[in-house]
Parts: sequence; C-alpha cells; structure tokens
Amino acid sequence: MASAKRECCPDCGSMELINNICIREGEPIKVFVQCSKCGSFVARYTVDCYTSNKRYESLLQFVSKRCFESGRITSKRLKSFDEDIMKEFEHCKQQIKESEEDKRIEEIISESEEER
Amino acid sequence: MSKRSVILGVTGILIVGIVVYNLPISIPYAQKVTLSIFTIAALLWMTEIIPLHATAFVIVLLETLFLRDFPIGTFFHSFFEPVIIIFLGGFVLAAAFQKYGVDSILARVILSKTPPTPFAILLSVMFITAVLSMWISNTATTALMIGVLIPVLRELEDKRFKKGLILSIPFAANVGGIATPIGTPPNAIAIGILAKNGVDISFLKWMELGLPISIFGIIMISILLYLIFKPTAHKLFIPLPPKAPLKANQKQVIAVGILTILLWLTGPLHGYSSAVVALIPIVIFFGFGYLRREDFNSIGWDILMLVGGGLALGTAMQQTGLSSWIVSQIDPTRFGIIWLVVIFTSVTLIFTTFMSNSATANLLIPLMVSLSVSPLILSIVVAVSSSFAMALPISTPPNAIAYGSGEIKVKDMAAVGVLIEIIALLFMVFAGQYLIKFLIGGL
Repeated sequence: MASAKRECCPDCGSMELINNICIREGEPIKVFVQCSKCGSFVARYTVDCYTSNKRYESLLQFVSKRCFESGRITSKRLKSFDEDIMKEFEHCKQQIKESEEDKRIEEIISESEEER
Repeated sequence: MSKRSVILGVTGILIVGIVVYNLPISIPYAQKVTLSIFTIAALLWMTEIIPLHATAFVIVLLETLFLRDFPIGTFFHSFFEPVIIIFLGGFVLAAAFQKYGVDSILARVILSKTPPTPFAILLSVMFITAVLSMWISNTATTALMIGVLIPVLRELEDKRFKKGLILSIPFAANVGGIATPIGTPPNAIAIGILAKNGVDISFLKWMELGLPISIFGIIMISILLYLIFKPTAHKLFIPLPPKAPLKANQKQVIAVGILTILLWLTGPLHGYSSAVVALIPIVIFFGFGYLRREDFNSIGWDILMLVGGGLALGTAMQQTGLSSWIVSQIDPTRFGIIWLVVIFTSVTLIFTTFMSNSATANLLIPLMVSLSVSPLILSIVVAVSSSFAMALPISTPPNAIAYGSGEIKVKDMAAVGVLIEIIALLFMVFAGQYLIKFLIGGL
C-alpha cells in the first residue's frame, strides 16, 4: 500500500511551511518543519539521504557512505538513483491529486509499520 | 532483476553444478563436490544474479551441507580470519575519517599547495586520490574527490582536459588501492589465502611491494591522460573554501589514525599482528562514541562477507586437494614463469574488466597458490592485476561513479583503460614479477 499526503500546520492548517535544516557534525541531518504563518513546530524529519535538484552531487554524497562490490551493480544503482527520484516525485504528486490520504501522518506511519 | 528471473537463473546454475558433479572424472567425492561448488560460485559471481555477498553464503552453505567429513568450523572460520579483522579495522578508520571530514581536509590542504598548471593539478588530484584510497574505500574516495573538483569542472571550458581530469580520479583510486592490504579486497584475499598456505605477508611487506606499483601506476596514468586529453590553457585555478582550524575531535581522529597506521607499519618491531592493531580504532571509535551504531551498521559488511566467502572457497579447494588436481591438469611446468605471468595477468585483466575484482580474486587466487611454479608470485600478480582493469564503467565502482557525471563517454574511458591494461601486463611481465620475487620471495 502506498499513501501520499501534503503536510500542513496542526495548529492553523496552513500549507505554507518552512524547512529549517540542522546539520551537526557526526549526527544525521535533521529537518525542523515550521509553519510560516503562525510559526508553530510542525514536524521533525531525520534525513538518511539528501537529494537536491543537483542530483549528481547528491549521488556523490549517497555513494560516499556506501561500499559497492562491483562496477556493474554500481552502474545499475546510479542509473536508477536518478530515474527513481523523478519517477517517485511524479508518482507522489499524482497520488496526492487523485487520492490524498485523510489520516494524520502518525496514523499512516503506524499502519504501514503494522503491515510490515 | 525480477524474482522470477533470479529463481530461474539460480536454478539453471545449480543444474550446471549438478552436471559438473556427475561428469565422468575420476576424482574423490570431496573434490567433485568442491568442483561443483566452485562452478556454481563462479557462475553466480560472473552473472551477478544474486548479490556477490549472497554467493559467499551459498558457498558456505553448500560446503557445510556436502563436505561433512570436515568440521563446520573449517569453513566458518574463514569469516573471522585475521585478514577480515584487518579489513574491518580499515573500514572503521575510514568511517571515522569520513565522518569527521579528515579526508576532505587532506584533499583541500594538498590542492591548496598545488601549482596552478594543468599537469600539476592532474598529478596532485591523482596523488591525493591514491593516498586516500590506500585507507578509504575506492568508491568513497572517488565520490569525495569528484565532489571537491565539481566547482572546477563546472567552470572549466576545456572539455577535453575536463574529461582527463574526471578520468584521473577513478583510475587513481583503483591503482591507489594496490598500496596497502586494506586498500582493496583482492589484496586481502591474496594475503588471507597465502596465510592459510603458510605464507605470512605483513602490512609493511605488502606496502613495500604495493606502494612502488601504485606510484608507477599513478605516474604512467597521469602521463597518458595528459597526452591524450592535452589541455589548451596553461593555468588552472581550483576555488577552495577558506581553511578552518582543526577541531578537537578531528585532531583526536587523526591521532588514532596515525597511531594505527604506525603500529601497522612497525609490526615486525613490536611483534603484534596487524589484526590485533586493527582492533585499536574499532575499540576507541566505538567505545568513546566517535562512531555510533548507525556507523557500525553502514560498514561494508557485504564486502567482508564476500572476502570471507572467497577464503571459504579457497579453504575447501585446498583441503580437498581440488586446486592441486586442477593445476595438475594444466601442467604449469610446460610454460616458463614469463608465460604464466602473461596468461594469468591477461585472464585477470579480462575477467575484472567485466566482473567484480574481488570475485575474480576469489576464483583465481586459490588456484594460483596450488601451482607448482611460483605460486606466491602468481597469487600476488593476480591480486595486483585485478586493480588495473579499468576499461569500462562496469569494470569498477569508481569508474561507474565517474561515468555517472555525464561528462565522459564509454569510448573515452575505454581508450585510456585498454592502454593502461596493456602497460600493466607489460609491467607485470618485465618488472612486477621480479619486484615480488625480490621483496616477498620467489616461492
């Protein structure tokens, strides 16, 4: 099952959000999402792999933390890294358009963990 | 690959294994089983139908299922051999260097002192890449160095030299790995299999041999790249961020790194095995919180298991006498050492151009140690040659990363890569084998 949902402020319901990115040495990157209208705390994400629109640079970050056994596997992974991100982005936008999830994000996460 | 294709592929390979077992060859049961396991492992590693490290477990599973006359520890011990611990220590050291940015500090310091001429920059980039890849994985080094050079590559209008500069990074990473036992898995595989055959090669001994070969490789490749991708400009500037003073934890990580490397190099003086020394960074970095559980989980366990699988395969081939039987069929005494070096360097270069260099070493080195003619020289020739195969993007992970930049074409890589392979072959025949004989022995 795949779910998609746009995040909004739990206090005022605004969709205008700011990502405050916190990078501390030796720790995973953390993103603190803040409502740009009322300033409330919305959520915190811990980033496993950051990818920007400069995808090759993000890819270099991704591979630098991994060991690869073979050139063939690396080639395949690198090719799919780029394609998958854009495909998933389009798919996510489409899913939100067609059937955006009504439940709260915590509920969606907990349901998907139960399914696993 | 879909699950269905995997199941079909694995089934087909197992059937080939059964056919090999039933071939009308008059050898004992244990040798037949091992020949069948060797065939299955070779096909799985060549086709990469399942991950390479999964093949390592297939080997041990088949060995423990069908070679029941041997205690299971015979094969399981391969996954905790001293060479695996040395490699683990290297991975931990590399993880700390990366996490605290020590690798990028070193790269920026050396680049900031490089004269702004294209050849000096090319050589400097290759030198830094090679030095880093002696201690850090070739993949991570390539990613770091391309990342450092991205601002230069973006500004560089000379497209031809840009290609040379990008290619210099994976090539230097591949060759730099030759210099230390922890630089690349084939080195560890050779050291591990030779140790099981009573030949101990210390960290320092390997470096005495590997370092000159790496230096030769760097100089040879830098000249080739400079001549093939000749720059149009006479000056080239690398924009680097301003220097920041070292932080306390960076200094501590560097100190532990230097201590470990010094202890590795002075093994003959203090008498402790390199594997014991490798435990020092593991204990310090995890014990004092420099590295955390996430860092532990992201260590290249798959590579360690792949090396372990290779050692387990080598053990079975030695213990059952299969490798001696295979070698007796080839009768190496018919060829002189020079022809044997030509044959096995060529085979290694061809194999590793198309498949993983660790898998190639896993398959070929157990055979080399059983040769009646110069087994030691040929085992090391195979290990070293496997790092010189770099003609295609699929030849090594660093090549794949550089190709992913979109700035180079396959033909650019192949043009230089094939030349490098030919020069490596000539080097092995006319210099490499004598260097090994002189430094390590002529066994």
